[in-house]
Amino acid sequence: MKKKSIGIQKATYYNRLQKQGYIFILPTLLLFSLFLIYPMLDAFRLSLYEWNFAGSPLYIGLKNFIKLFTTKRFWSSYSVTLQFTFLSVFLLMFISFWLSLAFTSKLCWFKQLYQSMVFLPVILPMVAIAVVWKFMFQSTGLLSVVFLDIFGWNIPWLTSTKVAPYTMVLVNVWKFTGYYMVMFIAGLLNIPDVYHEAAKIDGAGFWRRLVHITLPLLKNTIILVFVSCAIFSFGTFALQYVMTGGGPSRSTEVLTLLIYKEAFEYTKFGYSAAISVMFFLTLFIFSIIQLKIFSSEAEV
Amino acid sequence: MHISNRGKLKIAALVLNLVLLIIGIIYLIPFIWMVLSSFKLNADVLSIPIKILPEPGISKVILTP
Repeated sequence: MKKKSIGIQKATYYNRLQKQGYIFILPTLLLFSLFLIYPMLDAFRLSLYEWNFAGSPLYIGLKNFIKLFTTKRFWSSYSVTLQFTFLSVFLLMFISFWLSLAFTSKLCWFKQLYQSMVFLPVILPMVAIAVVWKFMFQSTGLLSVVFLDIFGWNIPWLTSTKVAPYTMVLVNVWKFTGYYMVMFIAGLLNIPDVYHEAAKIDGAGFWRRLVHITLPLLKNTIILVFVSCAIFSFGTFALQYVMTGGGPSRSTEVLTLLIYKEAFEYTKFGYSAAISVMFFLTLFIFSIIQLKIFSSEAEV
Repeated sequence: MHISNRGKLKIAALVLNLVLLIIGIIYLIPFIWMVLSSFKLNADVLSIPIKILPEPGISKVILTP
């Protein structure tokens, strides 16, 4: 009996503490909801209006969305974004995984040196990187001239609709490899050496150890890298905005850039909010699917 | 000719380090170019043929608006 009463007392004590806790987070919560959550929700309301920033918003129902689904520009932008995301995720995961494997192996002599070389682009701001690469990709820039002189290839890096999207992927991969490499290294160092040593004694080769020990134990890290990589790549903006501004005949016009242009260049705020809603829905569906896969694998 | 297991490992390490060094340098090139370009005049950044090193005398860059 005594124990129970203590339990109840404890519960009420914690309940009281929790109520006090809400008071402490109230200032941040208020500012957060005023400046972050309210504008986010307001975008949904705005997507049903026609508004040019000057006059008062005019309610037009779902016309924005109908226009969205019937215009070619939105769908081409959508496919450009998807292509960029798929290629970036694939290349980033592939390169950073193999680099992290190399950096954690015992055969690597100057780990710190190589790691900092690959990690350097991560600490630079995206805009600075985009400006430097833009200079290098110009027809008189370093890369164009080097490729022309050494290999004899005249590559129109930023001026061809066929090459420019891949150029964007190249710069994106160059910037973020170090970031995901560090994530993979953290995951790899968490795997105890014991497993590898035991497998070696049993005569397992490199590939067998990779498939049966490293990959299964690294699963959580791989999922984390995949999800964050996909979300960040889908929301890319500064790169395209600085380097091509939508590119030769809209071949690099990603969704975020289209949202920006519709809102601040053509002053169609309602339409741009509708694109934002579509953008949000895509990532929302993606994260739901990813959560489903993740939870079903955790149960097994 | 028979190469011992140890020798094989050494060769593998050498190849791996060489490859990693090359990858590291490839990752560094734009960075080096950025730093070098910051010491150049506007005209020298995009000149043909390429000037890899900046002209001597940093004061020139600082004094030009």
